[in-house]
Amino acid sequence: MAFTTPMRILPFAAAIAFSAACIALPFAATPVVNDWIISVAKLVVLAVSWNIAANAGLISLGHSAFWGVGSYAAVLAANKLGMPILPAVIAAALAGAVLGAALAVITGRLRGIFFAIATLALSEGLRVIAVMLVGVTGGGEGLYLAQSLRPDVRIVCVVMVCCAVGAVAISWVLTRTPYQYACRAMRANESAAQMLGVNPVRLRVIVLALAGALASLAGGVNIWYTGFLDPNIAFDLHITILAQIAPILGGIHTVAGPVVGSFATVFLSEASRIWLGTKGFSLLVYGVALIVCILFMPHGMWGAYRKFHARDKQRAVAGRAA
Amino acid sequence: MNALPLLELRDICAGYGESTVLERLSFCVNRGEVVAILGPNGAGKTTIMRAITGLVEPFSGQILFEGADLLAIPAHRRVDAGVCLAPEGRQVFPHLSVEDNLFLGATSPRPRRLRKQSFEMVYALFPRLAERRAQSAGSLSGGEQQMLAIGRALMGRPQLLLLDEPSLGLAPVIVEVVFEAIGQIATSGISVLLVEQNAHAAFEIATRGYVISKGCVAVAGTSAELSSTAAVHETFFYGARDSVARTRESAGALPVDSEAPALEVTNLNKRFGGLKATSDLSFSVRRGQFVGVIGPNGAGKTTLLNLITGYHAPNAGEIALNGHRIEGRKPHEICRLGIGRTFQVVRPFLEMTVAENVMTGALFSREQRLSMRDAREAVQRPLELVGLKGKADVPAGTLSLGERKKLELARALATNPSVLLLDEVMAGSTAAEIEELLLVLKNVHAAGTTILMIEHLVHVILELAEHVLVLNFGEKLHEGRPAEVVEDPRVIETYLGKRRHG
Repeated sequence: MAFTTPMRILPFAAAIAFSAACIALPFAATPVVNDWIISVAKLVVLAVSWNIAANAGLISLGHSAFWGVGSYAAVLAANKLGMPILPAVIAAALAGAVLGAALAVITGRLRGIFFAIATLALSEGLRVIAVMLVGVTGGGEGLYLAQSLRPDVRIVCVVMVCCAVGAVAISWVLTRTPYQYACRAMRANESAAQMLGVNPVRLRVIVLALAGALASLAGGVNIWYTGFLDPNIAFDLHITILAQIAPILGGIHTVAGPVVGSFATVFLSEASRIWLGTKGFSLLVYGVALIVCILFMPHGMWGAYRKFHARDKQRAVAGRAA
Repeated sequence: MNALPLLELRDICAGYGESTVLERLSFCVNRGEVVAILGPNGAGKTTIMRAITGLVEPFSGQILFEGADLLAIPAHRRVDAGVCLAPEGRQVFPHLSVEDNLFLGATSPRPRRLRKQSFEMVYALFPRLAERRAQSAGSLSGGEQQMLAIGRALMGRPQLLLLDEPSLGLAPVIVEVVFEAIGQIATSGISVLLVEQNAHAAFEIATRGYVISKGCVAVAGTSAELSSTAAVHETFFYGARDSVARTRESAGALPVDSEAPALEVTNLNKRFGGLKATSDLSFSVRRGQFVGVIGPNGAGKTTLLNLITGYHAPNAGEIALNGHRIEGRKPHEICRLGIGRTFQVVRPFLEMTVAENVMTGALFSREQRLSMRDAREAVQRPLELVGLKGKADVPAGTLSLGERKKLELARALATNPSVLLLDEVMAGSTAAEIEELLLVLKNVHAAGTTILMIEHLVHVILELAEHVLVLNFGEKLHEGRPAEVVEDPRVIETYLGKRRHG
């Protein structure tokens, strides 16, 4: 008992110290490092969002839909209404929540692969709409965020890191509430969950509104960093893919998994780019590295670490017994 | 004497991940024999089947088939070697036709050449399958699906046929048909290894048997020896004796409230396409009553539960709970109104622990959401009642089928129901476990819960139910006191069959 309390507090203290360091880092770092910070932080938000939906059995292939809607919401809030960064990203999150809730209602009883395909179609449909609504989105030419409103890059960095910390905190809090049992029950067997009093429609609306808000938030902050948006950037399939690679690589259905996976994904992609230079070859290595990781760590990096840890502990216990 | 056994297991240790299920298990099956494997749930019977078919790789030990090492052959080639399994819970491909299911049984090179003959053989053995060859397997009744599972295994032209619980969830009259067919298969020269909870039925066709306990052979002997051994008796036949006599004691022992019925069904109709699943069904259950529902496979029993709990909406008719209409409500609302239910095909949340499964039942079923702490408290009693307390922190995925049935019951109990609907909770349990569950249900009933129970085990119905409803083709065939119902000639003809299985 004597060491359980510090053991419990330790991870939190580490997480808080790490978050504080990340928030402070942009003020001391070079532009390249800031770029990495943004990349990791936005991926953490996306991955957490994707994982929250996956926890309830909702596999999304359309996270770029939320990302794009959030991006446009933020740009339009800034350009048309003159909003600075903070209110604009809140508007982005709200737009994402509304889209998520609407998606839950529209897809109704769709499950599994059918739901996944519906989300893919949603993203592609929104891209086409964005191309056609020239008056609002600038169509294929795209639009620039009003230069006068853009804050210092370091501020954007801090906002993105705060979003990432917030997203992880939310997903951690969720595991402490009855809500996690409803999600896991839904994921395992929806009809059995219903007979235990879980309302599947309500749960789906809540889950997708939350996941949508987070993914849109990531897009909404990112636009303050890049400053330019067109439909192909906003609804890029790459976002959808990253949003699921990171949690799967890190460890799906866990709190730490999406975070670990985001760091690993960005590390792999940057390391292969820097060390192997030529673009085609580095992408090949990046892809192979991802596949190898997923093949040999079916429960993700976090799962592999936990397993290793458990075995270590067992060995320690066995050693003590002998 | 010296003839090589067809199958021999030597010191097999097997399990899943960290947990060992079989510990140095050894036994053999000779040519032309029918060997039964019996044992309580969780003893490792299904794991034996999985080790033989290659779905589980043993940690150590040897499996010899015709003297050759079977473990060296990959799972998908073992069919070609002559080992075919009809798995627990049948596992037919529901969206494929009967004929396609059978066709897939003969996919390996050797049986592929004999496919035409095999079809004839299977259709001769099970004429019912020939009649339904174009129908999708999912639309077959439980008995027909079992025939199909056995037929599909036979299409692989086995020398050794493995049957995992062929009587599971079948009406007594169908159990007779299936076991007669197994007898015929054995006389045609195919050896059979049979895992079965219905020890009466198993001993009628088996030459020898092994009783497995905690992963090794506890008792071995011929069927006659085993059925007279005290240890076996305790595990398997305990539940069967004196049940009729005890019914008389238990019936009417409870104070019964005679206000509005707890559950009232009036002129209930449900059609699936052209098929009438229930037609003009009416009955009522008094508060505190224990009602049994029996009827052949496909009689509409599970459909009735699906209608009451809101998974299907009726085409016409009324369902009332304590005088309030509930038809058309969603399942989660029905749950919160106080109806709990178990599913015939168990639906545990596999990745959760046993306690978490039950806790999910406690958390969301009440109008006032429970706190996590209260929910953890609320888990204790249901787990204790069904006897799963020792496994509270084990992942539900590692439980055997019988244990999963208990978990299903515990989870339903955690929703604190005033009316409990049970869909074959006893199926897959040994007589000793059934005896335990009987006590559990008696306690639950005595605590004031109204129970409607679908069950194929006649002695269970006789022991527990005060009133029995017999369904056939979605209609009420008969209704009355249990002792009368089992004497009714129509019930004997359509459901019970000539012999009475344990």
